Amino acid sequence: MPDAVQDFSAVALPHLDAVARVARALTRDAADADDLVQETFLRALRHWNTFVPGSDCKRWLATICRNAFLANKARSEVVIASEDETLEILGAVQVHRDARAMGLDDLFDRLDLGPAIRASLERLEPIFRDVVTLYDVEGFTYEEIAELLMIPLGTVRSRLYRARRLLQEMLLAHAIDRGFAAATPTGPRP
Amino acid sequence: MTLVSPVPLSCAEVVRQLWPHLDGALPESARAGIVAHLEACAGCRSHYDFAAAFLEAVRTSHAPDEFASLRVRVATALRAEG
Repeated sequence: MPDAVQDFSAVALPHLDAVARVARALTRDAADADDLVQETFLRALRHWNTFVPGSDCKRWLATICRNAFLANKARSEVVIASEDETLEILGAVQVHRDARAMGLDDLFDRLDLGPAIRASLERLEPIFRDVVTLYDVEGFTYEEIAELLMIPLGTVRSRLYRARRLLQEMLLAHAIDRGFAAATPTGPRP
Repeated sequence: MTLVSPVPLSCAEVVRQLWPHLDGALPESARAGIVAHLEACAGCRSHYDFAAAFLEAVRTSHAPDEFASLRVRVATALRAEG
């Protein structure tokens, strides 16, 4: 084993457990975390000449891990939903299940909901109303909204999905109030 | 070019990507798997149809000439400026 690799291994590998825990916290997926840990140590080896002997190697490695995670995330083609985004999507699916249980599966096709939608939009908190209006009404993209509102892309998505779920709930309640449904939905909400 | 069949997705995986799929925000590789699942799964298809109908209702919900008064105000200000 070349001297550089041997030196690196002796100093860096004892910190593998710590780096693995950082990777799992970032990725929330064991397989992805393992890949990230490997990439972290390979990157660290390539830059071993920049490490100051005697400085905090664990912190140095953890920083490399985080930066690698961010770099991979930016390159990723998959839209990874945050926990909030996923919950909001599941919430919207539950609204559909509720509507179906009440015979309102075709709620949005059957009723003229224009006025009710406008009224519901007004009831939303501005941070949610702004995003859903810009996206669903004005046709801006996620990226354009993020730039316009100077918020992260993930925040755009999570606010948009929450706004949609809230609107659906309000519109379903509106339909019930107007007497278009009779049954009470059953089943736990997410 | 070698055609690659989309990887079968579970209902949970499809449902979790419902909004990004409807927004056209997924790469083709992910979209193909979802489309294939929706063609085969009536349950997920109904979720998709409900969500799509909702989005269409929201998109067409804005009042006609919603900013009429503002348009007048701006036009007036521009005339005054000129």
